[in-house]
Amino acid sequence: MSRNSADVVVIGGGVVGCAVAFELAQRGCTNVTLIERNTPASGSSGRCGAGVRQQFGTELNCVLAREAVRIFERMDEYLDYEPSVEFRQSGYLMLAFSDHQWEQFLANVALERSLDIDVRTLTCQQALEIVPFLNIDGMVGATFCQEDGHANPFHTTFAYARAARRLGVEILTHTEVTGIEVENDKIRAVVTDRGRIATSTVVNCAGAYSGQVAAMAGIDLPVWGERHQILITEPVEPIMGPMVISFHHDFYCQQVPHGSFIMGIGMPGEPKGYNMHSSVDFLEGMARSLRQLLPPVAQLRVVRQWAGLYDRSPDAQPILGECPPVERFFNANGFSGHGFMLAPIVGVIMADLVTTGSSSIDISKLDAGRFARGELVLEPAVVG
Amino acid sequence: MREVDIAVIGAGPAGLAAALACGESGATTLLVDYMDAPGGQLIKQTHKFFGSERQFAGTRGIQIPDIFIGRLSKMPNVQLMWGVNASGYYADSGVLTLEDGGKFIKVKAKRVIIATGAAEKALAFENNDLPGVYGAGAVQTLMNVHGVKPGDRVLMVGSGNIGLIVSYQLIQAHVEVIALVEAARCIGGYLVHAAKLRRAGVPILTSHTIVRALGEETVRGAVVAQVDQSWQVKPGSEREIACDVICLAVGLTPLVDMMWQAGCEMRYVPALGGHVPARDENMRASNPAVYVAGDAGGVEEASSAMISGEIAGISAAKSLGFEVQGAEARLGQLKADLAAIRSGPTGEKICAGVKCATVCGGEW
Amino acid sequence: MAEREKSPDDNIVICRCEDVTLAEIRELIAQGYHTIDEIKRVSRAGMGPCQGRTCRQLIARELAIALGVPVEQVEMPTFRPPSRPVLLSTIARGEADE
Repeated sequence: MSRNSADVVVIGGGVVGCAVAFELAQRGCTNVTLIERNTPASGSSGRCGAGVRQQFGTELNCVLAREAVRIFERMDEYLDYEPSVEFRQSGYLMLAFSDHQWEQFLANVALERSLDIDVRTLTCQQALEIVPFLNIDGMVGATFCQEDGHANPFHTTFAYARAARRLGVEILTHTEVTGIEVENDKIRAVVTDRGRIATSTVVNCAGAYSGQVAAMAGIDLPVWGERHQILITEPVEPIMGPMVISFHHDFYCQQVPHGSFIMGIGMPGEPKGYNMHSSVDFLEGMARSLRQLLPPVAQLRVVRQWAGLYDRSPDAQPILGECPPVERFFNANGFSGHGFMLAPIVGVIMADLVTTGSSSIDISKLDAGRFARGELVLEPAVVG
Repeated sequence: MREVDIAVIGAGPAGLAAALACGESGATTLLVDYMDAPGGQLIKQTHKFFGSERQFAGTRGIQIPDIFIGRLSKMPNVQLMWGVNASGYYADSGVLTLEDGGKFIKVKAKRVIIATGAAEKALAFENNDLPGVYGAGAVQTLMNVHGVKPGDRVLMVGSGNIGLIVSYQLIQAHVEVIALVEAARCIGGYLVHAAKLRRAGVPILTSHTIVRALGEETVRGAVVAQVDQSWQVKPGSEREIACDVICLAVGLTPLVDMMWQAGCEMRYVPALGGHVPARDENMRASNPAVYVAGDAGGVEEASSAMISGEIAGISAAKSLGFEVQGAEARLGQLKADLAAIRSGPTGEKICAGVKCATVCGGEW
Repeated sequence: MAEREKSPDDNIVICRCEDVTLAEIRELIAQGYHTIDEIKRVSRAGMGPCQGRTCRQLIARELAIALGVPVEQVEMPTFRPPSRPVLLSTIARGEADE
C-alpha cells in the first residue's frame, strides 16, 4: 500500500464511490484513497439494468435525476473517456394498468413538467406508436420521457475510476476494510486487510454492505442487501427503443446498443440477504411476464441470468450526507435500485458536502436520521 | 415438477456406467444427453479398446453404448432422455432444468451426477478464425458419424492420443495428412498410435508449432516454425505447408459449467485439463448433492470414465440409502482398476493431477 | 487515443463469439484491467453464446504471462444458467403442450 494517510477515504469502488472520488479530486481534493474489496463494478454496479430516468414522484428525486441525466449527456467528454459510456437517450415508457396508477402517473407528470422534465402522457394507442408490439390489454395509459435512457454500467464506472486516478486518487482494489477507528466521535483511521490509512473523513459508498461498514464506525445504519435477478438475451437488430417499465408487473425491459434485451422482475417475498445465486422461479416468472407484455421479445433466447443486490433502505430512498454523532462520516448509499442513474449527481453533491459543507441541491431530507424521526420519503415510482 | 432420486447428466461412458449403477441400486434414475443417441465420444471411437475385460477390452467404442442401453432400458426405475439439454442446476433448490425441444422441464433431484465430458481447447495463432480450422473432435464427428471429409489435405496440430488417432482415421478415409506438428519435444500420445502414422509416411514434427493460417476466405495453407525450449519461435525456421484443413488437437478441458453453477469448490489442475471440481475418493464434490464422473472430473479416457462413473453411481445411491449388493467390494475393485489404468509412465501425470483434485477422508 | 499500428495480434481471435482479438486483450491488460471479469465487462469477451468456454483459458494465460503469476492464480468467472441459450417462450411454456 502506498499511502498510509489520506484526506478522504471512499469505501466502495462501484459507480457511486468512483464518482465521489472523481468529483473530490476535481475540486482539488486529490489526497483521496478509494478502497474496493474486489474490482470496480464487481458488485451491484456491474450487475444492474443501468437504466437512467427522470420520471420520479418526489421533487427531490426528480431534480437529482434530472441533474444526473445532464451529466450523462456529456459524460464521455466530461471524463475524457474512450471508447464511450454508451449513454443512449432512447426514452422510458412507463405503463399504467389501473386507474389508481394512472392518477399517480398524472400527478408525477405534473410535478416533472414543473421541474423542466419533458414528459408526455400517452394513450394506449400512442404507446403502440413507440413500441408497436406492446400488449396493451388492461393498460390504461403510459408516460414517456425521451431524454431518459440507458448507459453501459461497466464503462461508466471505469470512466469515473480512470478519471479519478488521472487526477491523483489512489484506488486500492482487492483490499477489504476491516475496521474504522473512531475516538471521541472523530474518525482516526480506516483499517484494511492490507494496512491502516489515517484519515478524518470517510464516504460510505459500500452499496449493500453499507450497514456493515457503518457498524465499524459504531453507527447503526438501516441498509441491507436484497437480491434482484436479471437476464440477458441474444442480440438482434434494433427493434425497441425505450426502456419499458410496468410497476404493476414489477417488470422492466431494455434493448441495449449491442442488440440484446436486458430485463428483470421483482420476486415477491425476497428475503433480506446477500444471496446472489440465480433461481429458476425468476427465470420462469420473467419469461411469462415477458411473453405477456412484449410477446415478440419472448421469441429470443436467454443467454445468461445473474443477480445483484439492491442496497435497501427502509423507504427505498437514498441515504445521503453526514451521519451524526460521528463527525465527517458521510453516507452515499441506500439507493434501493436507482443508484446507477443518480451516481453522477451524487458524486457532485457528496464532493461539495465533504469539501465545503454544503451542496447546491438540498439533500437534508435524505439524511440517515430521518428514520428515527419517522420522516420516511415515500417515492411511488420504484421497480423490481 | 418431476422428482427423481438421482439425475445423471451426460450419457457418455461415465454417465452410462453411473446410471447403470444407480439403476441397479433401485434408486429412481434419470439419464439425459443432449445428443439424439447415447454414447458421447464412444460414437466416434471406431477403434478397439484395450485393457481389462471389465472395461470392454476387444470391443469397439461404438458398440459399447448398446451394451449399457440394453440393460438400462429394461429397468423400470430408470428413465432415459435423449436430445435433451441440461440447461441449469440451481443449487439452492436442487432443481435441474432440461430443455426438450419446445419444452422446459424442471426436475427436483436429490443427487446429480455430472458426466458432461470435456471440450476442445482453442489455440491462438494468426488467422485462427479462418474457415477450415477445426477442432479434432469436430473432424472425428464429421467423418465417423456423418461420413463427411473435412477437406483433402490436413495439417494436424498436437500429438496427444486424439491428434494421433484422428490423423490415422483421416488416412483411413483417404484424406492426406501432410504433417503433424507438436510444440513439445516428445510425442504426447501412445507410441503405438504414432508408429501407425510413421508407417503411413506422415512426418511428425516435434518442437514445431503453427504460426499462421494462410488463405483469404478459407484455409489454403499454414506457416509452421520450430520452437525452442521456452516455446519461442526460432527466427528463420518458418516454412509453409499447403493444406486445406488445420486440425487442432491441443487438448481437452473439462466441461464443468454445472459444477460452477452448483457452487462446488473448483481447483485448477493442468494435468487434468484445467479447472476441475474438488472431490473425495467416491467422486462426491464439495456440494454434497453433486457427484462428478468421467472427463468432467479430469481428462483421461473412456475406460477410466466408465470406472469413475460406476464409483459415482454406487456412491450417490449409497448416500441416499440405496445399496447394491457387495457395494464395498465393488468400490474396492473399481478403485484398483482405476489405479491400474493410471499406472505406468503415461499415467504418472494423471495420478499427480488426481491427487491435487482429491480431498481425502472428508477433509473439506 | 492514437491509432495503434496493426500487429499480428490483430489477426488472432481470442473470443470468437464477440470477435475480440489478442491485440485488444493485451491493450486492456496494459490499461490496467487485470482480471478476466473486468476484461469481459469492458470488451464483451466471454459474453457471447459460449459464455467464455473458448476464450477464458486463453485470456487467463495472457493475464498469467502479463502479471507474472501462475495460471491457477487467475480468478475464474463463474458460470450461470442456462448452459446454452434457451428460447424464453419455451421457458414460459414449461411442460405444457402448445
